[in-house]
Amino acid sequence: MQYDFTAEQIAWRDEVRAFLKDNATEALIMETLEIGNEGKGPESTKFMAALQKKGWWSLAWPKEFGGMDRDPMDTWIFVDELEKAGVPMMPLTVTSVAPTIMRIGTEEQKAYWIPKIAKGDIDFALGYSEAEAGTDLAAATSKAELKDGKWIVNGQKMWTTMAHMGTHVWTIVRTEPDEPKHKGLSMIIVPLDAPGVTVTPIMVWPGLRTNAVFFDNVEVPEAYQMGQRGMGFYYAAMALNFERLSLGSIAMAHRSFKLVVEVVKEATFDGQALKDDPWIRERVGRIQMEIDAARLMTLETAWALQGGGMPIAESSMSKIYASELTQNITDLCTQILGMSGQLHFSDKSTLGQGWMQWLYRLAPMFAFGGGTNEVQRDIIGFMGLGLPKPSSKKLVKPGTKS
Amino acid sequence: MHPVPTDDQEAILHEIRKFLTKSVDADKCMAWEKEPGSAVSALKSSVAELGWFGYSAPEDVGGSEAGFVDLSLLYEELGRGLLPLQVINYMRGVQAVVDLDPKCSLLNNLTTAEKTICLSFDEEFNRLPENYDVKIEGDAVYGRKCYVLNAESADYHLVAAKEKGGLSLVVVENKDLKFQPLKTMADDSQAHVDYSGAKVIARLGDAGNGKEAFDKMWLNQRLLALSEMLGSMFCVLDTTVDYIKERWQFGQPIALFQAVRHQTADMATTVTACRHLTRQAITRTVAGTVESTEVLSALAYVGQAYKKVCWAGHHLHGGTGFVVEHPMHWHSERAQSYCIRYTPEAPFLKAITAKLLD
Ligand SMILES: Cc1cc2nc3c(=O)[nH]c(=O)nc-3n(C[C@H](O)[C@H](O)[C@H](O)COP(=O)(O)OP(=O)(O)OC[C@H]3O[C@@H](n4cnc5c(N)ncnc54)[C@H](O)[C@@H]3O)c2cc1C
Repeated sequence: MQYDFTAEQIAWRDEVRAFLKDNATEALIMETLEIGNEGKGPESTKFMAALQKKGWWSLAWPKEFGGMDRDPMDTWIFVDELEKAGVPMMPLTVTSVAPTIMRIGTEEQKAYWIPKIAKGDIDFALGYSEAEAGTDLAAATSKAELKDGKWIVNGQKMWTTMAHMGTHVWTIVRTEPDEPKHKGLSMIIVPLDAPGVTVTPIMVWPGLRTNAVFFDNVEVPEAYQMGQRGMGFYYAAMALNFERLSLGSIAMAHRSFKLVVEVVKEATFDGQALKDDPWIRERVGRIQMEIDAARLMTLETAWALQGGGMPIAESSMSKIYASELTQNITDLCTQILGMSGQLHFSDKSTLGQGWMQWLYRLAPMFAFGGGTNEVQRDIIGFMGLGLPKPSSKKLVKPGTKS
Repeated sequence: MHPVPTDDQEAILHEIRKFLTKSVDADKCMAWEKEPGSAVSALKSSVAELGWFGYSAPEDVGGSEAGFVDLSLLYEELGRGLLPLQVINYMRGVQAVVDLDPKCSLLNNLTTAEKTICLSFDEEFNRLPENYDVKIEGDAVYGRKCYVLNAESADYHLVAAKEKGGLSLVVVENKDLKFQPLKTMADDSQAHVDYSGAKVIARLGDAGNGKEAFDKMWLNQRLLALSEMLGSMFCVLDTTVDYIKERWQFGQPIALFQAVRHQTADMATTVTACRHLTRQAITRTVAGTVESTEVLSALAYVGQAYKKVCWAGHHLHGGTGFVVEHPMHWHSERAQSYCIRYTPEAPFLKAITAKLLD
């Protein structure tokens, strides 16, 4: 048993760090704060191009799709370094949708979509949620009917982040209305510039934009329905699993915490060095301790994947731990920064770059988004601990008469 | 013991709630946020007519002479009803003057809101008055104050500054002051202010002798913050309880999920603890019957609890509570801003421990 990275992994980490030293500019970091991780500002476009040039865009993809076939541990190291640097994360098109297409798509579909994604010509918004289908994704009612070799899509998606900047929406719609709800959905790709698609903005608390997307008799080629009909719910779950692997990361909060630690080392309030304040010392120690635990949990997920496992309960644990810890860290750190803790990152006089107050506003979303924590707890129960699944049937205690 | 408002107080609170429900809603808050100062323009005269600016001020300066307990109940409703912070902060300004010198002639115009006043106390790295760098010399104020709410728009600044080796509380006009406006989480119109010789137009108390009065006034400001937080928590809890009954997922109201019910029950338990701690701290301070840690515990606990209640509310609302049009985020922003300004946990925990151990 050992917890150290191998020499190769350390060399890889250093290579990523060296790249970031040159490319993680202050302007890029500020832009990421302003328009969010998934935004496409001029700085992040430049940064993504640099990643593409290095071949790191398709880092974890198999070689047959033009990828580098880096293993999950290397991918973990890469993502961790990116988040710590405060630069935009790899788009979900590359890390969540593409791997799903590789598994579920027909040969034609793979040959059509993957090279376009690799070149950066395609950028998906994820169209799972609807107003009445949030945690209960299978309740989606947007529908598609096949007519004359074309899908006619109607309905409304909610929270479709990136739909105002992407090229297509990767969406689940009901195609088999007579099947049970989980089995009646299919995964369809809808071009965002197709006639009948309307994208309207929804602004959320941290100042970021997401969207509502309306489909009004939108015609989509038959071949844009991915994999098998009726399997959309399961494909969405697969893509969400890929997405969740990065949701367990604590690196963004860790980065912000390090900035606060630097402030604590230097600053003096009311004539007392912050670093001499017992309340602050205890909090700083506690946060570091929890970050250490959170990092190991995400690492275990990567390690299990590396060994060919499907660490579903482990990734649920990481997701819960990291999302709740992020709330805690942002809360404590905004307080540690005192009056400056309430300043926006655009305010030049803020201490610690103002990340914490932004993360404070973003943090609630980590807990209910990406598969809410309550459902993750259920998953840990029945997938990790072998507890019985909740059932609506009336149960009879063994050894008793019904 | 009577830990709830009397029937008479309830009747007044009912009227306050009615006014706030009619005058403040999410659409208006959104519009006010876009245009600084518009909330004050929209509400100042009606709030003045209701007598809220001078709620506890003596009648002869235009006040309503309400006691502090009634004042705190008004502030609970301001928190619940999300009266815009700019307006509340003007009310707080008048209250500070009332606490420091109820006979101050400026109150005649402040209680009617013909004039407004802001509180200028904090410095960039100093929050305790004994450490202030800002000075009064020959009836003029010199130095930089920070995080001043309503600094740019208020007619007067009530400044706490060093003088004659002690603390003085003086009023200067908002004339020729230099501002550095700040962008803050709660969008509450703060600025750093440079006073390079601003002339003192009124004094609240004797030169260099203001520390005790300042402490009393600032404690009242903190207690009113507790009341606001409590009212806001009532609102977050009520809104969440309504929402989980309305919101269906998996073919049932989410209120039927045990995990959701438990979180809501925890919110209610926390709010109850806050209600008792806040109202005890206020009533016993007013009655002069504080024996030990009553006030300190309220100050250490309520702000932290407020954030937890808001976060649970956010969580249970899912995406619906995350959009800028939904009031949840205003409560959550106030939660952290108020904690930082009025009730940072550390000093009160330290004071509690000192009472027990030293
Ligand atoms: C800024 C933002 C960006 C987003 N981006 C996207 C995107 O790009 N694509 C996309 O498809 N979606 C996106 N979402 C949607 C997000 O995935 C949903 O918000 C999430 O799935 C929760 O759904 P909901 O908001 O409807 O909450 P609900 O499902 O209504 O949940 C409300 C509360 O009920 C609880 N709850 C629900 N069911 C259960 C249960 N069975 N047991 C216990 N508790 C339960 C939840 O935990 C939560 O606390 C985004 C959301 C936001 C806010």
